[in-house]
Amino acid sequence: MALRRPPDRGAALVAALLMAVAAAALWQSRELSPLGAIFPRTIGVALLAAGCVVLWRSLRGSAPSSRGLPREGWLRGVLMIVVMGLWIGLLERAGFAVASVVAFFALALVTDREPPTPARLLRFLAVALVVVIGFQLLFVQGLKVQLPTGSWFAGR
Amino acid sequence: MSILATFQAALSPWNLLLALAGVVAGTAIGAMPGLTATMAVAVLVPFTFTMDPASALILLGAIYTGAIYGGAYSAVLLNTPGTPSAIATTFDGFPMAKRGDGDLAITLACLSSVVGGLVGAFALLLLAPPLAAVALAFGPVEYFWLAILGLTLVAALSDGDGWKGAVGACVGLLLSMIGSAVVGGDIRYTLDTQFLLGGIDVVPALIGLFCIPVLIDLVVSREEHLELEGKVAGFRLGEAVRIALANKINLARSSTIGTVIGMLPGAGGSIAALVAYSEARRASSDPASFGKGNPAGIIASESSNNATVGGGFIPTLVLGIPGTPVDAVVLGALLVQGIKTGPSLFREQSAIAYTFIVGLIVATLLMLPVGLVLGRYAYRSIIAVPKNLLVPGIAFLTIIGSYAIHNNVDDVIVMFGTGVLGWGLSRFGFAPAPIVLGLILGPLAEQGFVQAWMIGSATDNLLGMYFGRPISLAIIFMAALTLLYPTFSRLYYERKTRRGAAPPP
Repeated sequence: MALRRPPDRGAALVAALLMAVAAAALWQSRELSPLGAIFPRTIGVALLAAGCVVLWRSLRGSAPSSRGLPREGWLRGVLMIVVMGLWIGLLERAGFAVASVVAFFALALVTDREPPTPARLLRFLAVALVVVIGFQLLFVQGLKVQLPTGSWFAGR
Repeated sequence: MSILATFQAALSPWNLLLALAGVVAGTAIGAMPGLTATMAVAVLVPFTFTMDPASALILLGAIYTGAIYGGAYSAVLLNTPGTPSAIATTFDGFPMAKRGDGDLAITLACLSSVVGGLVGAFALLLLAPPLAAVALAFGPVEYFWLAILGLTLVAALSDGDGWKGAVGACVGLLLSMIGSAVVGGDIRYTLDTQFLLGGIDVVPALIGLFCIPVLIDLVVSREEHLELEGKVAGFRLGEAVRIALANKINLARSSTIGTVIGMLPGAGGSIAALVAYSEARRASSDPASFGKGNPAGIIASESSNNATVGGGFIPTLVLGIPGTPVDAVVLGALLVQGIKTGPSLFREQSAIAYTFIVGLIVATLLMLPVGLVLGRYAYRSIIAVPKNLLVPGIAFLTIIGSYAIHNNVDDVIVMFGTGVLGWGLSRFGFAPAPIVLGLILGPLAEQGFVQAWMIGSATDNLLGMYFGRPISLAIIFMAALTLLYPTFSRLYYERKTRRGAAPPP
């Protein structure tokens, strides 16, 4: 007898969302030329079909259970995403070095599970400075990559 | 280019330095539990952008081979495989460490990795050119079916649910269609933005998909400190060589298994190691000692997983079809370099191909001194890097690395966006690897599919175009075999178990 698990509603929801993406791709393919539309239509239909099977299996509990969203530590995960998002947003405004030192420091704080002490904070800042400056030198001088200097600090 | 010139190019001081640096970096990253060989290569790919293609390939090959070996450290001393391919190394490595033979286990892992790596690299040297000559006969429809064969990887990469793997592959294929169509030039799915006009670049997407989910999971998880079992006090090289020589058949068999499995789509280091381990145990005169600290188990696991490196590069370089997720990353890096892998690589850019293969052999040889010295002196400091510095450090590398691709923040946004999407999907069982595969193989599949469609329609023989050519049929057969093998194998074992459990008549 096949092993049944509780329904995996999270996986079913993701499958339904992806099926909606497939439906949107199929709908959009109306505007394409016949040659440009063949492949999107084929893959759109394949995604709809595979999504249907995953949806059915997840609701029946016949698919392996997924981990789902984390129940513990999720706030740290969200904070990490926010910090990285801000980091990217600040790259061209604050410049690569400033944005990276601040974000490195913030990410170290987000990851750390010990109470922050002045010594720990200083350590994070020191490592952030060394890593960022070291790699900036390597990329700019060694690999000739032009990193953003920041519009906030550009001469007016 | 003559063989001598190839050796000279591969053995230039710069390439030797790169191979050494790659092995050290790969071993260090592979040794950290939670960081995979795929992530090691993905995060270090941007360092290769300004290099010449052969040097870039040598560095990536060295990182890859080092990372696969590095996984053995934590497998032996922590009972936690540093990379998934070291899973079978824990079976006997950890019991050896517990009884005080951790140093011997590490040295044996190093020796076996070198032998396995060399067998795989020589197989690449000897098998790739003739296979490339055969592959020159391929037309568009064969390339379409090859892409489908590559996509059958999803069966092995989908974390236990092939249907979710199929969904992931379709998502990757849809992502590959964003931007200008490969045939016809239609602008598709750009949401009327300039940003998506050029499509989703493969390299930032795969850095994001392979690195960001790991980082978020590291931040979310509570595990902080890992306790070492046993210690590494010396090399015990002589003893390890004697044990390896006594296990020469096991070594040869496991290396061959690793090479062959590496060539198959989807069957990477972890499958090779488990198959080789199982074969070593089956062939042993004392199978009961396996799992209790038998050095033969480490030899089987480590020689086979390193042999997959060279084996996996055979389909990657010859056909442009990645054998493993790491090969997919290397393929992406080559695209940035403007190199199109496939049979023409060995005809038009043979110097690059051969310099890389010789470089891979050199990197594998360098693994012996590097592995022994790191295992003896640096292991503790490698795993002692606290999570609160490891996470921002790797996040920093993903940002600077994806920016460096085109000196553009757009690539960083793609990296981060696909990474967060990959994390969300992975929490619900949709692994990132099939998405990457779809993204990489999408243009190849579409080009072959549409061109074959056009030729088939023009000759009024659409079905014959797709299913009537002998090479296509052979590839379809291989794809079907790859897809159906796990099901047949499961049914076979279920039937065998039922027979074994049935009461005697």
